Order: sequence, then structure tokens, then C-alpha cells
Amino acid sequence: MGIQLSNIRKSFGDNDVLRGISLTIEPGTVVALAGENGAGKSTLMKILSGALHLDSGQIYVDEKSVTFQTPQDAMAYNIRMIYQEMNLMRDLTVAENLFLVDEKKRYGKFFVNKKKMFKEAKEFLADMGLNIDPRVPVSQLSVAEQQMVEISKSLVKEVKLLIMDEPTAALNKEETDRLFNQIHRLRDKGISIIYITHRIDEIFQLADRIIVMRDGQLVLEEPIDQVNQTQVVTSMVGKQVDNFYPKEHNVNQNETRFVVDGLTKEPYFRDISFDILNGEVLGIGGLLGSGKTELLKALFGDLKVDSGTITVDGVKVNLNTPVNAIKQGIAYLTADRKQEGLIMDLSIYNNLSLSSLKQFKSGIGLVNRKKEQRIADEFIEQVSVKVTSPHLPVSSLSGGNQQKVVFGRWMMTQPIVFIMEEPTRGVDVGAKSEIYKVINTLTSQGISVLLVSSDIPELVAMSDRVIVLREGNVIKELNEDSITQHNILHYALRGRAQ
Amino acid sequence: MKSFRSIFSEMQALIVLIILVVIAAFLSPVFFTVTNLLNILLEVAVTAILAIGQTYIIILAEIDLSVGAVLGLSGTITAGFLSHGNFVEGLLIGLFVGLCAGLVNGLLVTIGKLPSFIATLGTMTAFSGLTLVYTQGNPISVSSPSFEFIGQGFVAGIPFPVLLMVILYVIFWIILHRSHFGRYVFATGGNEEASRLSGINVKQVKLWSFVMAGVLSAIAGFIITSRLNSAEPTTGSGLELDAIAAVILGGTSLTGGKGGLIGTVIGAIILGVLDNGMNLLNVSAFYQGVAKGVIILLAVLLDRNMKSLSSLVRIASFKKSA
Repeated sequence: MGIQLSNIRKSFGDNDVLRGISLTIEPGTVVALAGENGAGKSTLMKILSGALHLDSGQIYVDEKSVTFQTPQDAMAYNIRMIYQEMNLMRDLTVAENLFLVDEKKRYGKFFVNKKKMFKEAKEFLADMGLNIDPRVPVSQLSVAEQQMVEISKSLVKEVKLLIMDEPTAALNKEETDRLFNQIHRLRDKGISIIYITHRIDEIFQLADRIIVMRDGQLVLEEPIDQVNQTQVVTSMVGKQVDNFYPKEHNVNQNETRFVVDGLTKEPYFRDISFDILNGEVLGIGGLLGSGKTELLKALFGDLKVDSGTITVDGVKVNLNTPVNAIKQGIAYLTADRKQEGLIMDLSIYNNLSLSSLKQFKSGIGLVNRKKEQRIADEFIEQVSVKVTSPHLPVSSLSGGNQQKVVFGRWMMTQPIVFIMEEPTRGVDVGAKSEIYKVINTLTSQGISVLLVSSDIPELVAMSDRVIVLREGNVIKELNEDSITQHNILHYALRGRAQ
Repeated sequence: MKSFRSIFSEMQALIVLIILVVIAAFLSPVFFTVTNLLNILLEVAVTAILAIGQTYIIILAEIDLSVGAVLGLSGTITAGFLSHGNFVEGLLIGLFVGLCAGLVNGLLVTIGKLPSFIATLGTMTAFSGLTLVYTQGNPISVSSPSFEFIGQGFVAGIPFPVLLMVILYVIFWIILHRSHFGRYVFATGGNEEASRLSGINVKQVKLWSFVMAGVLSAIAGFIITSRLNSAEPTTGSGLELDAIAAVILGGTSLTGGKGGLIGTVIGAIILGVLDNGMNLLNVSAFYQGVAKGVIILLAVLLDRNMKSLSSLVRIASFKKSA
């Protein structure tokens, strides 16, 4: 009985994401699925829930071979996945969201029998142990309550296997505990749960079994009482891959260029202090929700802080807008290239010069396009963007080359501090190592780099020093030999500050 | 350097214009005379000038429904001043009214964070109301020879409004396609959040664009008032739609970030040729509206579906050869 996966393989182009995964999920068990970004967790779960097709292998439900073409097919076998981002209609009521799929069948074809719907919703929520009014719009609920509604929604119909992708990312301790109680209740009803998480402590609190994936393979599969935390972290990290990161050390000990002192913005982070030397890469480790994104926004003048000071090259600066931050010599490469980085319809030239356009002034105050293009050409060469014509829209480039354009744009502003968030996200392996070379170029020019990355091997290899954030506090500073994947994970994960 | 796509869209407007001109010239012998062509441009000038500001605003992925009402308001106030003041004062006050109206729109959109459709729908109604309040519903006649020149004068045989239109297009083309501000307009319309995080003051860009649209509306208002020697309380109503139609016909995308002024002026001329052609052919005024609407839709349909159309053509020719 249960669900069985046999030798599942999947590749995207040359990239083998899953290399023969076999596993069995027994009814009424909670299985924790852990692994670093890119280990293949999401791909595997998407295949299991019908959102992706497998290249080869077999899925068996109750010993019967099945194929899933769409999520609906998987749902027909009572397999459901709850994604990180919620799929609720914010302006509809809780009850409407719960019964969205088959509202018509249950409550009349043309006119919805609201009374009946609310009554049933109330019973259903009570049965789940939730005290939520089914009449209020979802938008009025807290994030945790919304999460509960999302989970409840998937339980309205019969469920055999429920897949949850980091459901606690946005929850606090108390809410997490309630969620865990709920999960245990479901397990006791005979439902299987696959629970994807980055948080080691949760695994031991919640799961019956643990699976760890690395590079598209299962590297650990044990009952939870047979393993300890160190084993889990070690199997997640695996063997260090060397030489992929062409790191150069360009730190100049004698000059501090960037000082942050006591920066606080409740509820995101508090009393953050650090400095970055000339040519140094300071890495920031931390999970989603550790406050790192908000901290970067604050350093770029895009989030007003409660207190604390920022000093650039010995001058205290007051950062109230991005415009102002750029003037003070701060560059910020955002994590989301498409939404917050490039103007896709504009040409490569125009994207490159966007933040430094004021430099290019002709005699009568217009854009000096000759000079603009000449300087842009220099940077295209420096960051080695592969272009057919720089007059083409930037959308014509590959992800890696687009990212290099963003790098070039910020380098053209001649920054003192270069903040980069996920600098190699969505970039192929070849372009990645070129981007690392660009980071070397920056440090060799004496620029201070603040590197935030959820790719922990990258963070380890490229940083001269790492601070680890957890729940908005600096938990640990790591130097030289103490900068290891194990340490970063350890300090980022180790329980929650109570 | 503009993307190929935007040049292509502007070219397309030109093709539509040429087709219309050929048809009109074929159907009416009067159409293709210098007098008539200048006449068309004269008729087009007001819409075309209104459409300049509208182009900036639509590239910003916003819209300004109030330009017609601003035209009316500044036109009547100018007329009111001219009846007991001097020429320069009248013009300045008219421009000032346009500027303030644009400023109100811009502030509602940037500081007030209203969608521009709602903001300018409101101000459109309010400005038209103000015009009626100011005029008490009666036309204000103007008798100032200097002012008359704006709408009725000629320079080297060319009507002054046409000349003014050309000068304004040259100036605003340079600003849009060659200045820092213009670059920021395209960037902001293409991706507002990315532009903001690239250090562009997007609110300022929007505010100035609305102010510009207001001032341009006032200038268009001078032309109408001067041509009629009188400011009618309802002048300008509906003109915002002509201006928007001209911009869309010209290939500027309502989703922002793409477009240009050459397309807009061609779009405005297309509308003028339609009006003029149908007048020459004695098409009833009732049918003119229908025809104009249908042709606007056809032109935009053609633009939006060019890709699927060309693939259809390719399939058809492939079948023939097979």
C-alpha cells in the first residue's frame, strides 16, 4: 500500500536534476524532505503532484502504475500539493475559498446557498480545530490563518498524500506549533505527508522519517530516531566541490569603507552592526524570514529604519531613498532580475546606463549618446556580456548575460559598496563562474561587497567573512576557516530564538 | 536607439495613412490639393498637440482623460482675461491654468496614489464644471488681433497652428528620445519598480509629464479659442478621446514602455484624413462616427495581430506552392 516511486529521472537540457529516485511512502507517516537549493526537491514533488512530467521511471499508487499529465490527474488519486505561495482568492470569504472547486455542485447551480455553505464551513473548520469565522474575507486573516485555510482547502476532498513546501516560512513559533498539531492529527487519520523544509529542528519535532536529497539523488533515508542533526547537515552539504569558485582575496586591512552600527527596524531586525573593509566580501547567511532582505532594503534607503547609523568612507549618511543611496556610492543588485532589475523592453545600452545617465551630458543638456555607448561598450567587455547588438532589447539575452548587464549597470555608477542579493540566481554554471570573476574585479578595485545568497557553497567560497542572521539578530560572525557550510547552516537553523 | 518593434509599429501607422490617402485621393479630386492638405493639418493641429502629452503619459503606462477639459478651462479663462487685459497676460494666465491642472493630476497620481484613470476622470468632470461656473454657460467672445493670429495667422503660406504643431513636435521629440527625462519616461513605463530601484525618481517623472500635458492642453486651447474668436463653455469635451486614439493608432502601447511621437503625429493625421475625406464625400455626420470607430479598431487589430496575420499569409502561400 501507499505510494511508491521507482527510478525517477528528469533533466532540463543538459542538467540532470533527478538521477534515479526510488522511495516508498507508507500511509499515515510524516516524511521530511531536506536538501539544499537545487538538490531536486521541488522537481521531484512537482512530478509527484502532476505539475511536471518525468523523463523515465514509474509512480505506483496502491501498487497500481499511474501517469500524471496534469495536477488534476494527481488530484484524482488524492495527491495534493500546497505551494509556498498561497493560492487563495483574497477578496472571497473563507468559506468560498474552501469550497471554491465544487461550490456549484454542493450549493446549487446558479445561486449559491450561502447559509448552508457557511454552516458546513464552520463545522469543517471546527473539525480541523480552527477557530476562524468562515464569513470573513481571507485578506483579513493573519498569514498563519491563511496558511491554515490553504491547508484546510486541500482537505475538503479526500486526501491520501499531502505535500507541503516550507509551510512555516512565514509563521511564528506558536503558529508553527499549531500547524504541527494539525499535521499530526492528519497523520493519525492515515494521511501521508511529505514535508519540505530547511529547518533541521522542525524535522526532529515533526517527522517519522527523513529523506535528504543532494544533486538529484537520495543520500539519506532513515527513520528519524536513527539519525542525529549532524548527520543530516553533513549529508545535505556533502563533499565540497573545489575550483569552481575562482576566489581572489583582495582585502585591504587598513581601510574600512562601510560601517553599519546598531541598525534596527522592528519587527524585521535589530541592533545590526558590522563593517566591511576595502576589497572585502562580507557574506550574510540566514534563512527566508531572517530579516536579510529587509536589511538590504534599509541599506539602500528603501526601508526607513527605527535607529542606527550607516557610514560610507568615514561619512555618516542618511539614506532615505534609493536615489540618495546611489549618490552615496551604494549599489544594490536585487534578487529578482525581472521584476526589480531590468527594463526588459529597453535596449542593452539603455539598461546599462540607466543608473549613471546623468554622467552623460552633451553641451545642450541632452544625453551624450556617443559617450554613453562608448562607456557602456567598455563595461560590456569588462563583464563579458555576449551580445549580437547592444541596441537590442535586454530581453533578447540569456539569464546569465542579463545578470551581467545588471552588474555592468551598477559598476558604471562607480560604487563604494556593492550589495548583491542572489547574484547567480537563474544563471547557468558557465555564467556563474564568470560572475564570480566579476566579483573579484570589484574587490580588486577596492569596492566593498555585501553578498547575500541562499546558495551556501557560493557564500562559503566567495566570502572573506560571514555573519549569520537569525530572526533579525546577528547570531554569529565566521572568519577564515570557520566559514563552512556546516557552520552557516548550523547557526542559521539552530532552533528559533525563544 | 529604439527597439525594432516600436519602429515597426510607427511604420504600420504610416502604411494605414498612405492607404487612406490613396483611397481619399481616388474618390475625391479635391483631396490631393495643397489647400486641402494644409486644411487637414490645420484641423489636426489641436488633436496632435493634445496627443503629445498623452504620448508621454501612455508610455508611462498611465492615462490622462482630462486634457479636453483642461483645454476648455484654460481657453475660457484666457478669453475672459483678453476681454479686459492684454495679450501676454492672457496667454500666461492660460498656460498657468494648464500647469496647475496638470499639477493636480500629477499629485493625485503620485502622492495620492490614485490610478490615473480614476484621478483624471474626476478632474475631467471637475474642470468641465469649473469652465461652466466661470462662463456661466455663455460663450466669451474675443477680439484681440494678436490673439487671432495664433489660430488664424499664416507664416510663409503655412497656417500658424500647423507651424506651432511642428515646432512643438520637434521640441518634445527631442525631449522624449534624446534627453535624460525621456529615457526615464520609457524606463518608468517599462518597469516602474526596477526603475525606482535603479535610482530614478519615478514620481517626479510622472508629475512632470502630467504638468507638461496640462500646459500643452492650454496651448491647444489657445488655437481653438482663437480660431473661433470665442471660447465656448463646452469646447474640448471629447477631444481627450481623439488624442488617445491618435496615440494608440501611432503604435504606442497602453501597457507602457514603448512608443513614440512620430507614430502619434501620424495617428493624428490619420484621424484628420478620415474626417476630411468623409466630409468631401458628403458622408453624413452620423455615419462618420461609426466609420471612424471601425477604422480605429481595424488599425489597432492589424497592429496587435500582425504576427498571427503574417503566419497566416505564410501558411496560405505555402499551400499554394505545395
